[in-house]
Amino acid sequence: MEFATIFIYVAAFIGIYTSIFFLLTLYDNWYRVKGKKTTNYKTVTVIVPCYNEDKSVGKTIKSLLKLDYPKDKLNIIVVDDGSTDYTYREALKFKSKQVRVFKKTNGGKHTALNYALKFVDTELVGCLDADSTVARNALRKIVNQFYSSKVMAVTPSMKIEHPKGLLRRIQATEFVLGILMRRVFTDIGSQNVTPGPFTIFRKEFFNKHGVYRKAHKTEDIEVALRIQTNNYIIENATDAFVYTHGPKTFKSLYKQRIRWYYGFLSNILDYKHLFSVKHGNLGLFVLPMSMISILLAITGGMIFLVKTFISWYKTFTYYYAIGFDWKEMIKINWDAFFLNTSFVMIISLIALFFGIIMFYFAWKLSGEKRSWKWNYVLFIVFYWVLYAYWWSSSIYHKIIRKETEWGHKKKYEV
Amino acid sequence: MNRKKFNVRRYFLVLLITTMIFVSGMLLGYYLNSQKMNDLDSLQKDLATSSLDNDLQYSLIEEAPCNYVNSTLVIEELYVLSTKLDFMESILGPKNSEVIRLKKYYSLLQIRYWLFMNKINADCHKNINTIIYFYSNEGDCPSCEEQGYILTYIRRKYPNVQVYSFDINLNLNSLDALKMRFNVDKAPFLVINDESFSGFQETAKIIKDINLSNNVSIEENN
Repeated sequence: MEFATIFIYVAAFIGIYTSIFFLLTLYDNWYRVKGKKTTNYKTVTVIVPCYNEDKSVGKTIKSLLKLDYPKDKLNIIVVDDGSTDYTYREALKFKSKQVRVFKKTNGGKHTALNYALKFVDTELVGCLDADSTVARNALRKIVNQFYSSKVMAVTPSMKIEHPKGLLRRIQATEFVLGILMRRVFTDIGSQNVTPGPFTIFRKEFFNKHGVYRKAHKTEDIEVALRIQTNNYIIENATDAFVYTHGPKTFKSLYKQRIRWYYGFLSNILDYKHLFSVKHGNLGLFVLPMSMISILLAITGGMIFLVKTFISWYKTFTYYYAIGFDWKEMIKINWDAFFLNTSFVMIISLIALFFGIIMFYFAWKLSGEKRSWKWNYVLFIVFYWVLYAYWWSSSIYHKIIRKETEWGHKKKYEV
Repeated sequence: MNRKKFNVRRYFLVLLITTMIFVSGMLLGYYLNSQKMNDLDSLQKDLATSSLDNDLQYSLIEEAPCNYVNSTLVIEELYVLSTKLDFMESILGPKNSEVIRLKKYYSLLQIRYWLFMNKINADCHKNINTIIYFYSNEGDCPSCEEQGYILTYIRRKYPNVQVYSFDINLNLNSLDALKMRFNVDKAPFLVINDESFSGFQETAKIIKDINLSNNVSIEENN
């Protein structure tokens, strides 16, 4: 049997297995998605770290001020991490009893967060990147999920703001699927990222277990793994939405992803002790499966490249053989006999079917009103090729130990 | 409740469901493919009847048999069958016993029909050009695919050219006899109107060879 065929069987089996597992978990916990009415408004501080974000910081602060949450229970701390533009001036416009604004020399996002942490005296603390905004009810929904002292962090559901253009539409679809994944990971106690935009933590965690770390420029992965290491709970408020700007260009998206994936890989290696029976689903299923999916994506990408090359070569040979006779070139055989009924095709279609079901439920959870079909088609066609490319590059960066850059040199990104 | 806890039963249940889906997919594929093979089988049987019908008709009509023989239908059906067989071979693989069985039968039909065409050409002064093409699917003939494209193109474009293709590796006595008759050594190997050509042949070269052996230009299909 050809290697490519065996690969498709393995990838499809793992894909279908994971989809069924996710769907069953989702089915079991569907009722938990809806939050309860807020009765206990805990005190919260939201830190807005920013670097050269004079265009968007105002919008971010405004969205925080509009939050449906008691004013005396919500503090905002804006930290300008040594911007060279008008970020500080823009932030100062909002300075009040509720909004404190600081400026410090540039040192990276984690230093900005730690700088602000020193001033935090509330029970809960979180961060909102200066290119993101929050839905009005998001904080209430998040605070509702701190139902136990073991819950150390609550993640929101993230969406791409104004997803226009191919790349942003693909990201929008990816984020929608991310909502389902985060929900399922929560239900099996295995969230391994606490996204920068608007994950809210108990301040107590930073007091007990230390502040933010540089963590290969992905402090949001490190802190999640630290919470897991200490056997606390990371909850998810699925109906608390945060909107973020996805990178617009291929280059900035590439840089962002290399930073994410490089950071994920590096942090996972730093926290390899999590791969153990002691950490249950996280150690035995979620983390190993994420490693396997990386391996499958890269191998799949390579097979795809080789197969595409061979198929183009064959098509060219055929066209050449028939002297580029266009009448022959456009001939299509419509006989149903020629429908591919091989097992590889059938199993690939089944895998695709499960992909569609997953996406349907993800869309339901996301509360999106827009039609999802075309976004899903774009996603299916392009995403995994990009995913394979990003992962290959990240592993290459890791091997040659080349530090990653922030997506956009001028500012932090999500 | 500890959500982190690894629920072995849940993982096993999912494994069971996934395996069931996989097996169902396999069975569905097997069913669909066997249906197609049955279709091919009955197509071949029909063709065998048509071919025999032609032979008998030719032998029975004593006066001017050439006026009555209709030869185009059979060759067209042979082509359809060949395309379908190639397709099934690409799905089930060249080693599939059912594929080999059908290919053998198909080869026999082709030989019989080729002999019949030779008789028609000689007795009725018809100007049908025949190309016998020997190929191999066992990875030892890299140019066979392209040669196949060229021959398909030629037979589509020139209606008075008929192509008979044979897998050189099939174990058939009559095919061995055919190979011996034209000294076939390796694939690709072409016999254009009784003249042998070993190795890959370009489109222009084949058309030129047909014209040379005929002394007339072959006509294009519009």
